[in-house]
Amino acid sequence: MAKIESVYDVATVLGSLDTRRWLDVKEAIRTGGKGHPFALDLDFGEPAASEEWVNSLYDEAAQIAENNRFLRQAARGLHGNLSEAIKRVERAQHNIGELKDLGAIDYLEGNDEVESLLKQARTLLLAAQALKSTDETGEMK
Amino acid sequence: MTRVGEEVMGSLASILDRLDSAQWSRLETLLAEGKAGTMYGCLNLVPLGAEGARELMDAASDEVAHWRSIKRERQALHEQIAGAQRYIQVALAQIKNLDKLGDVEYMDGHADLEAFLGDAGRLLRAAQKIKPTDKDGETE
Repeated sequence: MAKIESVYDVATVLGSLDTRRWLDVKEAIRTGGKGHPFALDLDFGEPAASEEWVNSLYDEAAQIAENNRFLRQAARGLHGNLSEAIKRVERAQHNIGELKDLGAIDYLEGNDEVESLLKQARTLLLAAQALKSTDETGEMK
Repeated sequence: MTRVGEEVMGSLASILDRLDSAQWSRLETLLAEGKAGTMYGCLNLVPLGAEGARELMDAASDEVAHWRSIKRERQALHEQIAGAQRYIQVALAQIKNLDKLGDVEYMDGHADLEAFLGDAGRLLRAAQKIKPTDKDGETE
């Protein structure tokens, strides 16, 4: 049985739930105890001492949960944009291969600088994707 | 095809490339009748007959298709490089956004990541600049 002991624990619970269920969590803070339908294995401890305390804890946790959600979205976006950039570079490399196959003279006469630059750019993008600390879901690696 | 034949075919291909394809059969008829020279001086040829005109048109239209394929690939190359550059710009903006939102992972150690993306962007700008064709697929 996991015990809810801090505002960050509450924020984690909120983050795992649809926002329509967030008021159930607020009620759990108010009443304390365990066996709440949204998470049977969580223990909210003693009933809240005051309504003011409930509101304060809930509001702070909700703010943290919202912020975490934006962070995950941004981290997911970052991953997606790097993947798209890599795809575009790979397609550009493919285009040059097609141009060579078609006998396009501009891309045949020892003109391999463009290919070399694309190859280096791809390597750097792959390195950036591997280096960053979050994955495609926006979570820490 | 002889050298002269190749030159005529090249001229015809240039004309076909500019001409709406709905007009191609009309031009074929003129070539068959030896009258294409009145519209296009470079096609001032003896009557080729239906079969000769067909053969020349086939060869020229193949050439046009080949040119157009090359042009499409050149345009696509430009667009893909430009697209990659745009995605890198957005990714760089997102790193700054993560900073603002206070993600400690990105506050602490994003310098290498930004440097890699900056370098990749520079390489792509260079590739776009030195490649021999432009956004329209034309030779610069």
